Amino acid sequence: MLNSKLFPCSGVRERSTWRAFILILFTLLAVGGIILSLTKGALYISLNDIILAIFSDSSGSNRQVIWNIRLPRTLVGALVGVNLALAGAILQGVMKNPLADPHIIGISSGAGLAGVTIMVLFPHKEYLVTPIAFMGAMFAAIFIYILAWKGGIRPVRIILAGVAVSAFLNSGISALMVFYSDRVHGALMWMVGGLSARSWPHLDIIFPYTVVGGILAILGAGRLNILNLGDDIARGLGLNVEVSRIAMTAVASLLAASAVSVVGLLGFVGLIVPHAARLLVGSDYRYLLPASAILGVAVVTLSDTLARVAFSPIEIPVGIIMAFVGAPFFLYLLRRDA
Amino acid sequence: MKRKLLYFACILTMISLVFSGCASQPKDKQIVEASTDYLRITDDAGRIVLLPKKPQRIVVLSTSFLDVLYGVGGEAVGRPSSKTLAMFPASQIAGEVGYVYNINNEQLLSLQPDLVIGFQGIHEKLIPILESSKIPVMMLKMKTYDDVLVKIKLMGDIVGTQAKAQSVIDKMQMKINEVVAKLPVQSKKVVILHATAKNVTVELEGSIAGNVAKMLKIKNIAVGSKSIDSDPDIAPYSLEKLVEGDADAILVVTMGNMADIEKRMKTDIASNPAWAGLRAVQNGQVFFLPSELFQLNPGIRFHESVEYMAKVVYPEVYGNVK
Repeated sequence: MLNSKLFPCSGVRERSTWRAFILILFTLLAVGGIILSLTKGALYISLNDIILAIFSDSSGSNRQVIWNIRLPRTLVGALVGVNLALAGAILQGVMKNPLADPHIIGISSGAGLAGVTIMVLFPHKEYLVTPIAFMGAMFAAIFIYILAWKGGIRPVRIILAGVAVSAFLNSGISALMVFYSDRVHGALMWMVGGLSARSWPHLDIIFPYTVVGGILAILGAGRLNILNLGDDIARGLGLNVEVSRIAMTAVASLLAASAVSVVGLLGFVGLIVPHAARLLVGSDYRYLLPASAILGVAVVTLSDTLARVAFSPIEIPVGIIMAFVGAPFFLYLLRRDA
Repeated sequence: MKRKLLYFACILTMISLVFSGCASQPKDKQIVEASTDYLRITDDAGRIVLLPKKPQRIVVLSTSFLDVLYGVGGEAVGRPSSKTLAMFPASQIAGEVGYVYNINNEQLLSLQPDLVIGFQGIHEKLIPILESSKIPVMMLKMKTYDDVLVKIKLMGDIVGTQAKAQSVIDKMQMKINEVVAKLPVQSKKVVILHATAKNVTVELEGSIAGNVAKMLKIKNIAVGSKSIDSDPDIAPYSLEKLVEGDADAILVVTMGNMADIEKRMKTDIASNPAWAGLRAVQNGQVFFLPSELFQLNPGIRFHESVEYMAKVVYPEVYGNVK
């Protein structure tokens, strides 16, 4: 672990100082990301005007840009970061598999197939994309759970069932894309995931899930720690392993499904952010969960700012930027730790 | 051992066949270059296509070209499967060869075409198969009005109906001139959105709608921004810039059932504060363009696209749509 390297005689005190330091660092990054996201954009608006636009109810174009476009977009991005990072962190713990992320338990492909079906086959019913994608995500997660159930849940079975079901659902997405290739543009943008044109209504959709999911995740941190000791020890400690696992997977599904239904299939955050956090704060879930959530905010807001500014006025979907910048950074962390 | 030798011989024969195939190609070319061939063109992929004689069995792989071909009095033996209504009912008799992006090679070859017309950027992968069967294949693109004119002419040359092609062009040009002549002095600013309010994708000058807007001297506020990929038609765009651009009207190129989409998108836009603050939205100046005129290339109906947009943007001059 990193901290033991930095603090060779790592006592409890040093470790908690280190964790506090990292958490503060992440928080600063997240706050910085949010501020940057608010102040930078295709349109230059001075800091003064931005503050004015947020706190006074004027009706100029600055107010429109800041209040109705930039601010809600930033907030949606931040919450999406929280949800996906938490979901990934929980799933990696529950499945005891470093590759677990919302994709593995079928959430992405379930939401993907449902969303793309609506966008391609019923483009006039586009308002259904969010609820249907959410249902698709939950349905896929439950389906995989049932498939993996055989007198109990074993993480390996879930992951294999997840891979199989995802492959099955993805073939459906591909088929739709091939047969309705003239309409794939919207679907493609959604599959990459992006925050373009997200505003207050989207914040309303995702906010309750972030609050409820976040609280449930933090409450479950202790259970996740015990689960990580292995099933036998966990049982020995009096934990109902199956119930805990199902409950925590359900929380992760809710978090991820709500995020995916609002911004599309944003990959990467759910997989990489928890790992990056784990490399820095260790795998105690009481620290890992908040660290992941905060890092998720930082990563999404910073990436989205870059996505909006880099080729302005052209915007790049944030999913592309995130993987492009994030993957090398993650590899660096990985190599350094190894 | 004997078997090994046999294999070796087989391989040798194959290699020699391949090489002799290569070697004979330039010779073929020389023969056809002796100006006995019917037509020689450079297609939009930069390939030289030779038609030794007037093609009798044409297979068209894109609906847009099918309409153009029938428009100049030609006929096809094969056409792409499509859900959109064909302009020429006669063209529906032709055998189907699968959807545009998913052409069935066997069906295509079984029609024994002597010319295959594909869409540049989509059908390149068919070239090797067709060339190896000695079937001439041309890759054409058609986006802008200029493209359409060139393609009508080309189809006329292919089927030998140059006069008819010219009359189609003249008729179209005349109708467009009529519209352009009545354009108001004060031109409006618009932004053309691609399909959906879920994300902001604008159509640039290279798109059909962008091209029509340019012909109508309508100012497209997204023009001038470079697209990041190789396809210059559409680009994901900053909503903030749209606020700054302050367009008079928003045009939306739809896909699918326009009436339904229109109803839905209007409420979508109205309920999303990010859109609702735009002046065009507040003034109710959001208009929808039908996919058959602006998403799929209208081809020989290009004047209808021009007329349609003129009516949408300047109803006070041209009267309302419908």
